[in-house]
Amino acid sequence: MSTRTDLPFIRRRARPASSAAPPAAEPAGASEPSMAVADFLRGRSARPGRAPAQPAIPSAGVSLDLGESPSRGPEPATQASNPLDLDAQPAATAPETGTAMIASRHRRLIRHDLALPGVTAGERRRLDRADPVVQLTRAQSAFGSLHLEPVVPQGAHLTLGAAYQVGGLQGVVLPALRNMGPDQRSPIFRVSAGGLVVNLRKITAVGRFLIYAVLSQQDGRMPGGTVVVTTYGGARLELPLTTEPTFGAQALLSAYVVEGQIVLRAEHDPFSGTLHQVCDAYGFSELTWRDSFTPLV
Amino acid sequence: MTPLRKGANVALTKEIPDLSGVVVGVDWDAGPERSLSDNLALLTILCDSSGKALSQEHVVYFNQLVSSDLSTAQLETAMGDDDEQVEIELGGVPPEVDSIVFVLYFNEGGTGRRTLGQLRHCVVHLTRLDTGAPILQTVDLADGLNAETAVRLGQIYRRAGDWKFKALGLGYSSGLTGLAKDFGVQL
Repeated sequence: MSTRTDLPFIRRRARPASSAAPPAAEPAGASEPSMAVADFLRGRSARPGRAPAQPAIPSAGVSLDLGESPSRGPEPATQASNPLDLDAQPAATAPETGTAMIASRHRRLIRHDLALPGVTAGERRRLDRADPVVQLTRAQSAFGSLHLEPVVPQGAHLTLGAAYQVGGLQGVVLPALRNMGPDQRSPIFRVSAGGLVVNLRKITAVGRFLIYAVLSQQDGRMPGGTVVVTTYGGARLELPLTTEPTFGAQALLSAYVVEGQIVLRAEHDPFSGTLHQVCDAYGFSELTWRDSFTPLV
Repeated sequence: MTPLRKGANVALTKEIPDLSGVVVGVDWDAGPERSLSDNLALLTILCDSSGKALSQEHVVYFNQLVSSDLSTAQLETAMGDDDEQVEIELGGVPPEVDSIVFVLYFNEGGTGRRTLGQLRHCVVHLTRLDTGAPILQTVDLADGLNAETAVRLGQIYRRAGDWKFKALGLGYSSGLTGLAKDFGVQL
């Protein structure tokens, strides 16, 4: 084996220190504005300007865009303790109790306690209106895949699809149109008649995604039942579905990757729309469309 | 340099008294199949004397690149010919850590079922952290793998105040699930 001559050179650029923290602490999704993530976690992405009483086509004038970039000035020092403030930099020097106290070339991962509920292997958790958010661990967000399966009454059918933001680019998967994305040969998102799979090996490239339902029933009514989300380790999340009428597409579940951890939220959105409108409403406005239910892929 | 055989070990700090850290590099060839190569990942587990992960923050992989004690870090992008590299500052490893185990696994989330038996080769290199000088390399650890989807490549461990390295190449047909159970990694 020949002597490695590249390592000392590259190390002088302090690559390990800079490479260690950012990908985990700031995966591609972290390029999302922190205010938008904080709003997502607080549940403020619901349309503030919409009347809740009647199903309506989302207005273009209201802000549902989770990808918006609200400008924000420097935070006062006192806000560093806010668990939703993702800009705060925790101390990255002191090793844990019981470990050797040496100066390290490596930087501690940024970890904020978002005070969100989790789910453990073997646990079943219902994502209802009162408790719609769950934060997966780093391991649950990285190992194996997430499986999403619609379990609906006999004779009914529910098609799941996903809009995603990966590496700054938006895309969509939808059965019979584009089953896999973003890369057909090595997909992260994969849909079939049986449901949807998110391959977590590339989760560090994922910023966020939206799981939606497209109704095949003539009346566009949701079929009832449940969407079951399963982690590789066997944790199970259950999203109850309504039997309300829709305009053909309904947002079900949105997800952000926050500091390497997937935060899932059941939307329980009282509004529906065409697929184009639903994607727009949740900030996937860079997609282009053939018609209101057919994205260009 | 004679490659280290499976099961053989080297007394690292006895042979190199001023060794302060090592880079463990893994070089594999998965062939042209992207469904295999894109779903391979390296897992490094800092284990206590019972062989379990010291904590979930002492498991290092692509989504958790640094152990909480900062002693062990995986590079986001490996340098040179290696596919993955992990840096270990031996002096920073907590005294409770008895061994550091290196695992290559196939992430079962992609399309189709792949196994590590499809690897053309898989070799572990150790280099000095401070100078990049080579210390050792193993034989092809993919040799003999068949239906396994995870393999313990090797481990660095303490013995009588010294650090040693042992080449393993032990396959897990139960994959990441079985391996995680053995090492107390919560999935």
